[in-house]
Amino acid sequence: MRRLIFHRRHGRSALHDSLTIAGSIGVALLAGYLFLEASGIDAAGAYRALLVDPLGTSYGFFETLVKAIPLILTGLAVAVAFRMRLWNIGAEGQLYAGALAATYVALFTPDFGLPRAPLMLVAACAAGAVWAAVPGVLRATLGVSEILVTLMGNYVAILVADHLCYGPWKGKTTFGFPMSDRFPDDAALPAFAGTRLHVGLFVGVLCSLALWALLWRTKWGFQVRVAGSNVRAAEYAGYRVKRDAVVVMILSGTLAGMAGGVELSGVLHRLQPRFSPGYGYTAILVAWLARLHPLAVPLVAFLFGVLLTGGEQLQVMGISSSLVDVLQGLILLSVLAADAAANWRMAWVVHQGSALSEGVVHD
Amino acid sequence: MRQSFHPAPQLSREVTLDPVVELRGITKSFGPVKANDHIDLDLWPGEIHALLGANGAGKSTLMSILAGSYSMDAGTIRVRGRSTCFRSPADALKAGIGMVYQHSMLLSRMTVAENMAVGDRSMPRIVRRRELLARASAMAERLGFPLDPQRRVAELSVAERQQADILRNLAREVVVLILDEPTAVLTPQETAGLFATMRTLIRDGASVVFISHRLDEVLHLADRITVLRQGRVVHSAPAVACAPGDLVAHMMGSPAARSEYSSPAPAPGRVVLKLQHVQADGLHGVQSLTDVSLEVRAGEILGVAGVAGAGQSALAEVLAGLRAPSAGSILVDGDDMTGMSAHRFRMRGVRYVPGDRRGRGVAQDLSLAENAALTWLHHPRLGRGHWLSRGAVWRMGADLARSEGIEPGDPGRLVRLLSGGTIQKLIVGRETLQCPVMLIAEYPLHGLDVQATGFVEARLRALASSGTAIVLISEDFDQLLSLSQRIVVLFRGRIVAQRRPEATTPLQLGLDMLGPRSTP
Amino acid sequence: MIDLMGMGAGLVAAGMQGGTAVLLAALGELVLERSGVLNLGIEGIMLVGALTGFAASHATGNPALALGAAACAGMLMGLLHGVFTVMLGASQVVAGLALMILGTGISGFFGQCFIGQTAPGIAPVAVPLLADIPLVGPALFRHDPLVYAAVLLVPVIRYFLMRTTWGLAVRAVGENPEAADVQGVPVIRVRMLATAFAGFMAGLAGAHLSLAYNRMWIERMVAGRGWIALAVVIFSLWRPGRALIGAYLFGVVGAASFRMQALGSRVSAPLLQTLPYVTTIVALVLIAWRARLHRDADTPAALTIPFRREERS
Repeated sequence: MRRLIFHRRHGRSALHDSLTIAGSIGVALLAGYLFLEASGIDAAGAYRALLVDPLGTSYGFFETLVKAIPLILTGLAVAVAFRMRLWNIGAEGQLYAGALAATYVALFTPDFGLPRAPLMLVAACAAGAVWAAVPGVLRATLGVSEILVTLMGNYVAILVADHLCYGPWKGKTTFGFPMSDRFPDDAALPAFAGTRLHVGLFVGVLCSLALWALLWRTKWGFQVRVAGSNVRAAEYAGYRVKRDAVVVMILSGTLAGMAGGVELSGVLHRLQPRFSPGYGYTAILVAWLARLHPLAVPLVAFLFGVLLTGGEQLQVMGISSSLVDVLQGLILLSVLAADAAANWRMAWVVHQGSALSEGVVHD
Repeated sequence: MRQSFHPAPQLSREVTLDPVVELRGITKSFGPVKANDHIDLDLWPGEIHALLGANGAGKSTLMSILAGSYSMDAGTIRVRGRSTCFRSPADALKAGIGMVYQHSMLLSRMTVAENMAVGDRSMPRIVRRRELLARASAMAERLGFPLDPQRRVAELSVAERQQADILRNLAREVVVLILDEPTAVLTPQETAGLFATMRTLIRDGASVVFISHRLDEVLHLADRITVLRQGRVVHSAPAVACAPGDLVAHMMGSPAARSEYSSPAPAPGRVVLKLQHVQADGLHGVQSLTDVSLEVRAGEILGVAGVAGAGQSALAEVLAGLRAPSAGSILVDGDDMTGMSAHRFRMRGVRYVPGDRRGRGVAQDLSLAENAALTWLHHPRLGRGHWLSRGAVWRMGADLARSEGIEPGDPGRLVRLLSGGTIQKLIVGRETLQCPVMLIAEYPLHGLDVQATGFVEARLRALASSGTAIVLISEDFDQLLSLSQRIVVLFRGRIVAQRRPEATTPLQLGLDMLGPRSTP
Repeated sequence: MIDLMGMGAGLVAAGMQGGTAVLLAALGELVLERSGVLNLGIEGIMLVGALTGFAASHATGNPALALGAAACAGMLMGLLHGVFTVMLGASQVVAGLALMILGTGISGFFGQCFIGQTAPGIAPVAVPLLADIPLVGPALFRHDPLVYAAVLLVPVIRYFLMRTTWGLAVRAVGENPEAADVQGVPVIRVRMLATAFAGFMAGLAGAHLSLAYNRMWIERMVAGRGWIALAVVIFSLWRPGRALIGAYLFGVVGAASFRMQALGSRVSAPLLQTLPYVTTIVALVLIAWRARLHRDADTPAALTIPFRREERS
């Protein structure tokens, strides 16, 4: 009698990790290719639009970087929260909250004699922080599921943005379209000549460095990492775990809110309903694939920027951009599967009337 | 009234012929520790078989293998002559082997009757409450348990839970019932009741395995006694042929080891710790410390003995500032520390080596160096103000690995990859990096191999001689007697005895741990 | 006065209609969580169910068959979740999110060609006699069969959980898998079956939206109902009867906000649409407050904790 047994395997190197992730992305893309072929679509053409054009043309390349900016910021937001096992899946809502605050500063505050763009970013950070602090405090004090509250926050923030675009903030120069007026010029982040790429990229990369320094170079960050690994050890060591949890949620919301402000100030220059193609959700993938490591987030965000840019190309070709979601789901699942395979070394064992090893999985 | 839970006549035929269970060459390792090392054991129908041994001797592991909840590395199990392989407790139950675990394996939100039905595939799909209750009541009555099967397990006392656990096993018509340290938490009256139950069971033809480390009970009750030490069978004989002194010798190992009991002369330093009438509430409103007063002096090792769950962990948490006492006061070096945070205790020089090493003492996803820094974060050596110096953390890990002889000593290695003994070296080294004013060591030697044990013992002695007040919580007589200058015995959250190692014996300590009752 | 009562009856009817999808999904998730597994992908599974149901009805013209197809599609998604979380021990949170994203993508991708199409839906069935009672009849007895089925499932699931050995096993596995294992319950198998059931129910729930409630396919038409179903399970304290209350409460709030829009409320439509989500947050807070005071919830103690025998080293 033979049966499959699983040994637990501990520890992976960074190289092994990167290979695992690259491999699983490859598997997911292959699955997506077959998926397209099976649905009778020109898979090669679709993949060219999805993967080659964003990297191969200069327009595509810059557009990819533009898309990567909000992904970096929201990805960092999710990464820091997940590090402490706070499942903030409300980066999307916090991004919208930030965008609303930025719009308010751009359009409805008197001129302070300062450039508006930095003020917009500050306001956006604050709004995102508040939006995330609510679930954070509810979680720390009452134990309310932060998953559901942050998620509900997404719907609410998006609908509030709808309300403002269709109603009070609807522009006078938009020919009846539901969006705000264009922001004044001093509300725009400087862009690189001839492209849509703006200094938000530096903001994102700086945030990634800063977050890394915060987590790995400060005592507070150390406490957060300990609590994320083992809450009981953190309590044993005398850290204030609940307070830290609220602070982490606020930090997470700040980053996601900043993403909203940066996107409006750097790219759209006005508030539009449903302007985000799901940055806050894609951020979950970005963070998870970056292994919740701030320095890896910009790299992964770039990869997903390719996917989002390609998704727009697909629409031009008449293929549903939902393919991007399909691929994202497949990528996440295949990374999970690869992790499981890496954690559990499988082996066939000949059975001799006695159980042979630990962790036997039944057939 | 004589009723059986299984076709007794058939069984009694087998009785005279063969053992019900034959274990051969059972081997099981947890990491570097060999919990069971080629163990052979036979169980005969209608006998009470006692498994005796000190903590960590491998009794529970062996029986968990027989009950199907652990797998073995090597060996064979034969039930009624047929070679079997248990992949799960369900398999063992099917073969008629059931176990009452030390930590109750009942579903506490369900009623006793429901617990008796869970997992039983012979039950009809639709639960008819009345039938279930009738069956449960009938069985309870047969064994003389005054147990209402409609009550939820969460509401039951410890003794009632045990009865419920026995009932759920008998409901599956087991022929071998294993009881893991069943008397540890019972009153004398309850213990007497349990013994009566066990006798009823063997009269009906079942066999009972009774795990214990208490001589008096074993001699009083068992038909046969097997002694385990360090994962091996060192003695197995009918009870009538066993002398108490011999059994102790078998349990404790060579008598030569006892020369170590001569503890260093107690250095009467200042009083470091003073507990006055401390009370602490446990989970579920159970009081886990009642009116505990004690003193520990500088340079003294105070042993705390007691059976599992006698209040040791509550005491450790109170002493480390992790749990605020509900009454009473704690003085450290004369300062009232009652109600202060764990951080304050640590700053005052109180250090704690927790019993749950992996679950509490370390963050396993972090490196060795980071875990070395875990409880030293406030130390200026690790960085100014809020900053943390990676280099300093790394050096701290490297230094610790060198001074404690941790192998492999790579400070970047994840703690998840380290063995239990290495983790203990890390924790002990970390907590004693600077000679603490007071050290609480909770089961510091549990499950360690010889080398790591020697390391920790030596460290405790060295600390004491340089003036640290040490509270050593242990269940192991050997350790307590050889290391401490004074031993207090906890029983149900109270201190019931105080002994000096040179003036007591393991037997006496064992008796003290059973609580205030008459000596046999 | 009569008119007001008529409106009330209409609101109840609309609440039942609108709450049914949430109730179906919540009942499945409730059983799953009772076994100790959390599936955050309900939203995605409902979307796949909605599309599968609509497409099958469009293709075959048989809504009953379409329901079956939707349920099966949901079950497959549920099993996928089970393979990852129960068998491989992957993070339940991340696997659930992956399923949500995947479901959104698949339904959006294949749904493109069904936008604006029609398909035979599930027609309301008036219960003979009862439907003719004034006010009560239109409110309670003129619904599509799935509405009745969802209501009937509440006592059935209650009975299943509390009065059958299967239910006993489910609860045991969710409370303490180690103890259940020792008592001979096949933990992995029970949990896998529960994931399949939760997927099945979420698939049905989605089909109710596309075949009865809206009678068309709209991209992302589930609009957070899957997440609200998860909230309803918490709100219910893991009891089927209270899940019914929670789901209908959601339905009524949704219907009320819709009516207020129709009546020309001064509050804008998008703001009114936030009502169900805000209500959900408020309900979660209240229930957490209450649970802190009473601690009598049937919260499965082992929720989100994967089971593997003999974790020791």
